[in-house]
Amino acid sequence: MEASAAEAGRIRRSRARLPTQGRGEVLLLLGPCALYLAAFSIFPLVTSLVRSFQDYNTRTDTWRWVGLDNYSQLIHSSDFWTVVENTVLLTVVGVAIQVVLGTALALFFNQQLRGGSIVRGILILPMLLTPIVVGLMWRALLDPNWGLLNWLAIQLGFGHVGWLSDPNVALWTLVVVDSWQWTPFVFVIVYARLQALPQEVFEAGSVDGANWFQRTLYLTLPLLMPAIIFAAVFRAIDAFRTFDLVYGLTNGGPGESTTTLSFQAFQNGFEFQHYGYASAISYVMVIAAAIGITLLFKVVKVRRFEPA
Amino acid sequence: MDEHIDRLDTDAGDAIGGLVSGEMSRDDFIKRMGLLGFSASAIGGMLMAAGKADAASTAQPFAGKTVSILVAAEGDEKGVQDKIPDIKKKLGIDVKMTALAVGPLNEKLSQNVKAPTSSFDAIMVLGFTVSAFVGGGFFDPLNKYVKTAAPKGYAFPQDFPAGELNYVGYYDVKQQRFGGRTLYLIPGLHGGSVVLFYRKDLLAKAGLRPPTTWTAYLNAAKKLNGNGVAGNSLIAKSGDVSMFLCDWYTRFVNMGGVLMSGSPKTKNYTPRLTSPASVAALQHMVECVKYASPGVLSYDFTASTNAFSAGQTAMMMVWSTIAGPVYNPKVSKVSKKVGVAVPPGKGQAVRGGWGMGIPKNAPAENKAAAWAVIAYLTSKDWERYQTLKYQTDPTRNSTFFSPAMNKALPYLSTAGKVFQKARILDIASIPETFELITDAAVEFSAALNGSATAAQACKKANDKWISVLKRGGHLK
Repeated sequence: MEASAAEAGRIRRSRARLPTQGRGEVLLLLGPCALYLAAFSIFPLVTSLVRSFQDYNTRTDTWRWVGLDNYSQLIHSSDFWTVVENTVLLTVVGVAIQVVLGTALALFFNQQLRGGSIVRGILILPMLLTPIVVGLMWRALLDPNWGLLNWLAIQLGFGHVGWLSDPNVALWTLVVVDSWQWTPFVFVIVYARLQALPQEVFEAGSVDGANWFQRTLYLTLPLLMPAIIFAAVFRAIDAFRTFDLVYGLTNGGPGESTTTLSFQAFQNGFEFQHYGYASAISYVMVIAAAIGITLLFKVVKVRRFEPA
Repeated sequence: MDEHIDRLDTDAGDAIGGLVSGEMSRDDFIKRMGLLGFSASAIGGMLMAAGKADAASTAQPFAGKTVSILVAAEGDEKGVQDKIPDIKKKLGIDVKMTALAVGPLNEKLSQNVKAPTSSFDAIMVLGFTVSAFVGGGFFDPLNKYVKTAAPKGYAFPQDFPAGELNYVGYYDVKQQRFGGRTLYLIPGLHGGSVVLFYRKDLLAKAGLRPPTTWTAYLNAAKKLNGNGVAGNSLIAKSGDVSMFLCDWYTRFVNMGGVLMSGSPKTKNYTPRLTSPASVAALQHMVECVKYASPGVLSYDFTASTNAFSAGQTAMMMVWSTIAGPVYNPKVSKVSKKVGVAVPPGKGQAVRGGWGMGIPKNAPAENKAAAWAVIAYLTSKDWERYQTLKYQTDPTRNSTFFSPAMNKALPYLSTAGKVFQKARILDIASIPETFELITDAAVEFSAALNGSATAAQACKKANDKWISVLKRGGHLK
């Protein structure tokens, strides 16, 4: 304790001793970055926070202070809770599917099968597409009149399926399309980590008589956990703010069955010009994301693998 | 007699316009004017005047100017693009066009008119946003331009339906209402309302006439449904504004519905979406879904029109300006089998359309040239070109009711009749129009997909409207 206090004191003194020229260099090196952050991150963040307590009048182009009204309206709106439910479902179910599938695919391709490198290349293609294009492409595939999937469903005797028009189906369609696009992301992260795992651990396991299942469960997965959690957290943040896929595929419908928080913020801000209300939605998202990620890190503890 | 003179004036005006623009030869002009009963000396005088006009036009009064315009990507942009070289030739103006769909156009418009200087010298404004943008005082009055710088044969305002002039032309900013004496926009580049498109062959085969009541419409849809053809089609996609405007409102207004009571000024502007006519209109749509394509719940107006063009639909109620291409054999399998009728009931529908104006914050040195471009793009010549080539709906009476135009596009006069008496949507006078329509279209979709009854959906939409109207200060 005393040692660390002495260390801190030493650092403070060394900072205080920085020559003038050194300070100039520090300002020169950090200044542009700090300015950039202030202009493009901090200023918009603060402005939108202020806006979330205001109401905009399109006719007079003026802002009126409304205090917590926007937040109050949001919390008391039944639509908002439907939208929250949609966003949470899309995030939790979608990311769970992507993590399970992505990890399974990584383990499968780790078997060094013949032609694996070609299939791996093809597998990551969806990830390279823009989500809006993915939305439009799937909308064509799911078209009720000439879409391939409806044609297949009819040929197989399932009849017409309202992929995007049935409120009980549309959100699951969105989850499937999102998973189709982003499972490769989890696959790439986990597969890369898999390639870097120490082989001695597995050799030791084999010597101790562990079979493939036991090695996977007790060695591979714990070793992969940091990569899996990284991919899951990254994907969760991304899925939580899904907008473009919804815009391209369902436009939030039918009803509000596929409206996500981001889409609701967009609609209120840019279609209805309720910038204050849209800012409030965005801030609720920021707070929810911060709490969610903190909880996720607390619940899923990443332990370093320490061989006995 | 007056009507005869008007028609004579219009025809003569067309001929002079054709001669000046070079679309009509001198010989053809002489023949046509002779047929219209003009004397040889009168024709000679006109030829001289046309020669002067032509000379003036070749002088390129705005040579070197560049005018940036923002237009709707609803087919209008094609006709504008085609004529950019002609504008350059006649006026000397380089036109830079940005064409956007309605949503992005409104966003761009909003950003532009509130910026210190507008990037666009002339902008198209949708009727439903006139209140927000013209009412917000963001556009220049055009009265002086029309008075002093209207081109020959422009026929303003007599060639435009009075209702359309009050909607996307004149606006009273002080009183915040449509109409008044100050002109902010020129109606164009396309107008339109809602008509009933039907398959003549299928109705004839079933021994039916175009329905004139909503009961007859439903019965016809039921009878025509089958053999790979849907009895009718709707715009049923959740949240689609055209679902509310084309399908619900047309039923509602023809069933005697009144959308609002009170007024925003007295802060008692109250929606009547729970009224019997409102519920009945939605219930009628719910019944119609049974005789529509299985995928109708995801149909927007493009999907609905495409299905009709592919021969998969017997009847549909849709914007005439969107569905005009069903007459185009290049894109429609049923071009020779299409009929049009006014909507069942009173033959009324919602008024659609755009106007074009000059933002107040546009560069002052470009405003005269911007007016010249607006005048060109709202002229008879351009409108006829656009309507014939791309089948969007015109705005001018002379185009709607021209025999030659109707020969090529037989739906025009019917569309014109509906357009004449189309109604301005009550809520178009407040800036929250789009939000209200979207909210209703989202709730109505619940009734169409069976997750709510028509009465429940109307109640929920009504509650949402009350909340929006209160927030906007239109209802205490």
